[in-house]
Amino acid sequence: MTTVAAGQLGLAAETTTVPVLSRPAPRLAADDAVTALYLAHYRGLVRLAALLLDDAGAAEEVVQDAYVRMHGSWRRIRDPQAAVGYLRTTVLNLARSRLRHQQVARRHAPAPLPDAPSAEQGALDLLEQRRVVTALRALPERQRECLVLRYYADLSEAEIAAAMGISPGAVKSHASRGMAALRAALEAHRAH
Amino acid sequence: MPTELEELLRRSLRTEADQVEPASDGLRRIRERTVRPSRWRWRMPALVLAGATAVVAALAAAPSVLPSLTAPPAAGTSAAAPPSPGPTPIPGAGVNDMRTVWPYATRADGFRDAPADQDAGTYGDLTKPDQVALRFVASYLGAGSLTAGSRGAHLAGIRIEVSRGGTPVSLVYLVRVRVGDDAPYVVVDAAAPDGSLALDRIPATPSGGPVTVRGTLAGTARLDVRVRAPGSDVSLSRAGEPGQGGAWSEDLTLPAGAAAVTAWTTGPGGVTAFVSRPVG
Repeated sequence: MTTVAAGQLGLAAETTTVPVLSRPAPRLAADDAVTALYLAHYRGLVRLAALLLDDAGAAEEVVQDAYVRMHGSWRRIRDPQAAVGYLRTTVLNLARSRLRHQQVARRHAPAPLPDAPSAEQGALDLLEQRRVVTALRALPERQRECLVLRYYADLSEAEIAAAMGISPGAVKSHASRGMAALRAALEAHRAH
Repeated sequence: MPTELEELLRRSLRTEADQVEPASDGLRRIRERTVRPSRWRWRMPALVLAGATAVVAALAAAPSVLPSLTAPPAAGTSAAAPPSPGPTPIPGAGVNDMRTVWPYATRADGFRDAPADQDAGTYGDLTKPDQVALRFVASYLGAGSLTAGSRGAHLAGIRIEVSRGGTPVSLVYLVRVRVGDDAPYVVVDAAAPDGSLALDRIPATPSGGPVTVRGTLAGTARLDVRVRAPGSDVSLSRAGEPGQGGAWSEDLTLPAGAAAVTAWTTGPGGVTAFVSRPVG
């Protein structure tokens, strides 16, 4: 069994590198907050967005947009801790919007080439992982977001609920359906 | 206890995510869009500034930041170029000055002149970036069958894909001349969508004079090069067949105040790539 410590994954890991954000008190200026939050969370957020968008360039643009919006809303955010949640929610919303545009474009795109066979075990593992990600991206939006936040960002149900603006019960439901759909998609692929 | 599928999903997401490494200039891009120069200059953490100061100064001053225009300069080009000045705030605009290619030679010129031109309709509606991008390309190629396609955020401005006859020929980069949603746009430069044509940085020659314009070119399409100066729009050179692609160069005499060098390639089906770059 592979165990992945929470600190190894994207968002949680980088939070610890900027002590000022873990203290409740002093109010940061917007510019300072952007810098601190950039250093602590930018890469993790870009990777999170890339998992949702399948486009690293678009992921960066979405995350940069989120930081710009956070900068503009800094007076209202007040709590630096809350800014992380604000960024995460904004990234989700912007990625969702961007994805809808991408999906329109992809309807007219040529179908991807089939996976190349390989005798290498490592390559087979990567092939299997690629199939998982491909199947994940075919899931409905909410299910996909729940699974990425749960299994990549290592967020709790409550944190996922806050990020997505839905109830913890809905998170559980989306995640359960998403896993079931993922399992079905992978089994269907193996059966062929 | 995590299931096998959960573990596979974790590994898969981790592997996929690890392949994404953000560009190192993300903070600068954000900063340019939340610009408050005097505060940022002094409050940026030392660890960010340490390795980036020289790069930021050079990149903010010249649109060589655009990734498709950053082909390595030919030997001798960089050494001959004067150092780039640092970013200069435009008083009252809330943004930094920079060289631009159309319809003004600098962003500060646009800040000063665009309001009157906008009222007079000299360059159409400068607050509509799609229209600005199309007019810019049309000023070289003619308006026939030009269309504006996808747009996206880019640094402090936006990027618009311009197609000719349905084929993408250029990515046009624009910025506003000041802060505000109603601010006019100016063209910073333009790049080839497929990277098939690129211009190296063109050194500033305030009083005009000879300069070698260099670039890279894929394929064997015909290449046209044109230089613009304020108040004039002169085709100074038309290159013939550039050979088997790769590096190309043209020796030009720039008019005083030359603002932009523009180049495009033409294949059997028409224009294939269109790039433009400010002088200096």
